[in-house]
Amino acid sequence: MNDRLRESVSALMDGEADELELRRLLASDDAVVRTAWHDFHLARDGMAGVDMRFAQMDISQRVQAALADDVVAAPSLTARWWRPVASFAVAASVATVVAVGARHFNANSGDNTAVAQASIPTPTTNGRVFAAPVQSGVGNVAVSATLNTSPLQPVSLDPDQLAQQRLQQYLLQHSERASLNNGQGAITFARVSQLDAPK
Amino acid sequence: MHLSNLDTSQHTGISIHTLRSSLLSLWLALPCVAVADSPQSEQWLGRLAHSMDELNYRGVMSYAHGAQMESLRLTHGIFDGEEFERLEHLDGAPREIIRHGKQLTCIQLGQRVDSLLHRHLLKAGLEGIDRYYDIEVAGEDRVAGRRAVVLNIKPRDQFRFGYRLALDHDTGLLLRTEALDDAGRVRERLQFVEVEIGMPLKKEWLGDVANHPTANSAVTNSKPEPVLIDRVVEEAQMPWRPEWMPPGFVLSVAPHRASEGVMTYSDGLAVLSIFVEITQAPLPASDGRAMQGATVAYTKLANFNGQPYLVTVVGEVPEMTAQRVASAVSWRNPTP
Repeated sequence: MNDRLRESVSALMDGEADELELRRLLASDDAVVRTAWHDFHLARDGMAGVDMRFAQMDISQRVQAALADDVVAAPSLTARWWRPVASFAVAASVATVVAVGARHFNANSGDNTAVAQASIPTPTTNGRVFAAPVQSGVGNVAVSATLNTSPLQPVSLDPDQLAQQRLQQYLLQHSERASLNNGQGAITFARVSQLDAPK
Repeated sequence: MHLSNLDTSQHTGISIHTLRSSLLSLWLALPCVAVADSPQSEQWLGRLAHSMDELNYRGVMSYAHGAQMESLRLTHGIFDGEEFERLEHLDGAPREIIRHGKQLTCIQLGQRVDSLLHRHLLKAGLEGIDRYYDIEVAGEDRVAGRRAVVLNIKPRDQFRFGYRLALDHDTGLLLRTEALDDAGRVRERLQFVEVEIGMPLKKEWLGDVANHPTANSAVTNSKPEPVLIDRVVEEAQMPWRPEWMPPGFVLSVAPHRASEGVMTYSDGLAVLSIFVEITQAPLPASDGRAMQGATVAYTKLANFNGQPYLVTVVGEVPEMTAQRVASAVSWRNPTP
């Protein structure tokens, strides 16, 4: 690890890392960086006379396992199925930006705040998690990675979701009708590949 | 979900599987006696439509579309004197579709639908499919360990897909079907990996629905409603209609209520359905399209006298066809 990274780790501990440094640390995904983070805390805690009995306890494996189990629901086939028509893509993308922005706002304003802060030192799946105190000053930086991990809040269905559900029902009806007409019988129903129960 | 229409089988006494044969088969099957008159390729198509409806068969299929592949098990035959078919998805969440007689059950959706589909045949639809497709026997192949005859079906215009079919040499059963777009790319492929033909159905193959007809009664969401045949809505009575349809497509499944909002058209091979819905629910921000394999759905936002409504065309047709049909739907009456 070069001195620059080491300085960045130190700055991060002191709550003085700027966004660029934080991102560089996160991107490095380096065992040496994590070890330095661990060692710096040990040294600081030792100097401060903090109880060191649990200093060697590494819960990162369990946390990682828990994170791995917490699979974010993959978009259903119909979700991937549905696309706005190209000629309307501009309007649609604007709507998407608005939606993402609102989601971001929710993630950082509600109950998810604690999650967002806690997840800052562990943004990569390989990161080890130590029972180190996280200073609130570190959390000043908005880290977009939390967007991907915070579960979507159940909200009333948006028009696109309705469109997908509608489409699924249409597809089933169409397939039944088609099975009467295309000479291929029940094979036609293979196309109704995603029978998502209406949420 | 409303799948309510009329099946003529009760009224006419024609067996269900006869009704279930395609437009194609009705045209091609009649000359079972006079097969010598029709070209070999059309004889094979006639055998296909018959065998799919009349034979007992059970096998595992693969369904490939885009970069995806799915596995399914198809069981078909006669059970309790009625046609039975069951299509089980073998990948992902367990889900299946069972049809026994007129009852269509989608397990996982938890829905049981008494399907009263009425096949509304127009004379025009029975006329030569070779007007719209160029059909030829393209040789032999081997599919699912069986000797197969390959049929190439090329569209004569750009409004429909082409097909490459492999039929079982001994029975005419469809062993493989591929839908091809105008560039000759395979949009989807369905084929048996292994299939057994002609054996009696075993009870354990039928699934819970056939064995326990009331198992799902708690979630039954529609009641069969006897519908007199004269209440079937003619195309001319619908409040809306497509002003344009690709040549050869005729109304093949009619609604029995004008309010039902769906009409299905077919040229004998390709099928498309038009759904028209006036809804209070939030509307999508724009027109939308969806594609999977050969299936395309095109949703168009429209407005009639200030009333927004949705027109959606779903079918195994090129996107351009779906879009054009959706754009051609218009209201007949002053108010929707």
